[in-house]
Amino acid sequence: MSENDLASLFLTLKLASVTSICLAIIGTPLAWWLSQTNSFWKNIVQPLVALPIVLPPTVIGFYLLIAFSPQNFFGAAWLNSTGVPLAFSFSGLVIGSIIYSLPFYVQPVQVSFQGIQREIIETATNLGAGKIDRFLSLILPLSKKGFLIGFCLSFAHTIGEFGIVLMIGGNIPEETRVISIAIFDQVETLNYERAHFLSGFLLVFSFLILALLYRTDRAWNETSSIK
Amino acid sequence: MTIRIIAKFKRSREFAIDVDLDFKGDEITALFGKSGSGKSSILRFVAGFENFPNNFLKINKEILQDKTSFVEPEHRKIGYVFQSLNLFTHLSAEENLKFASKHSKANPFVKESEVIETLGLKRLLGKYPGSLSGGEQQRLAIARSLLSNPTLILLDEPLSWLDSDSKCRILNYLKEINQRFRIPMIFVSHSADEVLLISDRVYEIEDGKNKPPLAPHQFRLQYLKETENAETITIDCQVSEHDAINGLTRLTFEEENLYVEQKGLFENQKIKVEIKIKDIVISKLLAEKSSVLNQFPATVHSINDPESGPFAIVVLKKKAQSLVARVPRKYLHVLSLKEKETVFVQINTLTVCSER
Repeated sequence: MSENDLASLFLTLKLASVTSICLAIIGTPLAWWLSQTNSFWKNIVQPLVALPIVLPPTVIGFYLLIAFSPQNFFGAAWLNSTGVPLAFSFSGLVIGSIIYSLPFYVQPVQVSFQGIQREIIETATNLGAGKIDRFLSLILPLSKKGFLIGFCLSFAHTIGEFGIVLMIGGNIPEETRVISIAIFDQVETLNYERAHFLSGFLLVFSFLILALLYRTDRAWNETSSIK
Repeated sequence: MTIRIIAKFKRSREFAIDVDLDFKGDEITALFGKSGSGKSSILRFVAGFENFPNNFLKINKEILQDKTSFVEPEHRKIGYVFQSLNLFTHLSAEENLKFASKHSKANPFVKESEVIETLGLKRLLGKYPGSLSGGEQQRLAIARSLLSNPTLILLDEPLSWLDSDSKCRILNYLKEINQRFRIPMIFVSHSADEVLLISDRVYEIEDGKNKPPLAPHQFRLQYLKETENAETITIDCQVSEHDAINGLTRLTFEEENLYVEQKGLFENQKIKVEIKIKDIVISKLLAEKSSVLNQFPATVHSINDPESGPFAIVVLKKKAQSLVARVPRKYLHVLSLKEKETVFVQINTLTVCSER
């Protein structure tokens, strides 16, 4: 593996990790709110969260690119506070990936939350557990499956990201050239050997993540059925 | 200790709760009523899960809810055993108990070891709720509630999941807990039998409203007046086998054999059997040379002589199930029945209820 490829691989893993961690922080309360609320806003937020599943990445990328532009409020505010523009930067990629992978994290976690009966939580409340305690000792362990699936899927999905990166990231080594872009590059320059190598690597890697995910899921199911 | 609950709220558009209840400490009080009468909503209100304005709840001089204040459910010292028990399936029995004891802030007057012993949970501690029987789960849920060190325990249909053997045991446990730990209990039930077995006071709840409280003997009389007019009673049985030679099906009713003519029942099927009250005969002796098809011992629970009319009503107990017989007052003195006495019940005709 060449130094460039290694850098792309490292960048991809870094992007996926940062994105998944950010999603765990942002997506968990969002999933909780969606699982509990009956408010009018759910009718709007729920489809918004799901949009990245149906929209072509180029559409999301296009709107993000416009939002990132220093001529617009968001891009200008970012530039003013950090001194660097968002477009074609790693930070921009993270924001794009968070939006792009949002449904893959939020939906499994939300389903898990919805699966916990209200009375189970009320029982914990009745036994004297406060909000934080209920979340840590009850909701978290009871929805660990949703967290695992959400984390793995958003991680794997970010690794497979291409369209958005192309739109908002471009192809800057060690900044925005993730592995899928590197593969595209190799194919463009007819360097099939390198493309094969990187594609094969991504294939095996993605397969392993999913295999591990399903294996863990099965193991948890088995232990819970013994219980 | 006194508990005063005044609750007025709309549970849905058509259904409103409007109750004014007074409870005495150290007592087991029953809220009796049909399903959907609002009993569980009252418990939820007491536990703090229904926060409607302008309600009032006072326990032992502490106001938990009034016009200006509302004590959050996690800060109320009220144990609530839900009908669905809600054991934490990801925790072992012991961890379920620990969950409760780690949150109890007051000095525990209920000792963990004592609770485990009283409810017979010692050998179950390492198990997970999923592998426990219905009765064991019920005991665990009650123990967990006790260990949160409540000053009042609410029980929603605590016996609904249990067979009649376990019912008896749990009822005894509840009595023991009530007396040993001096914790008042409010329990909700739709079964008059259960209410009679355990409660010290009964509030009948109908359409979200309460009637004046009754002492058990008053409740029994009222309940009997209703059964007096009733033609039939039903009992729970299990099918054991077909006796092809005699053309009968053998059922088990609290370990006694009963016979019906009915065919087409499955082995081990749980069925309800209907008996016409006028077909139930009480005898002090076992009739050995008799054509009666079904005969078994039962205990006299109460004798209710209305002192007029042709019949007295005798309630008989067979474990947790009860039977009602109409005894001609003419023979009452001949039989000279006493409470807790064992007599023989003779029944010829049993009818298997078709819907189950």
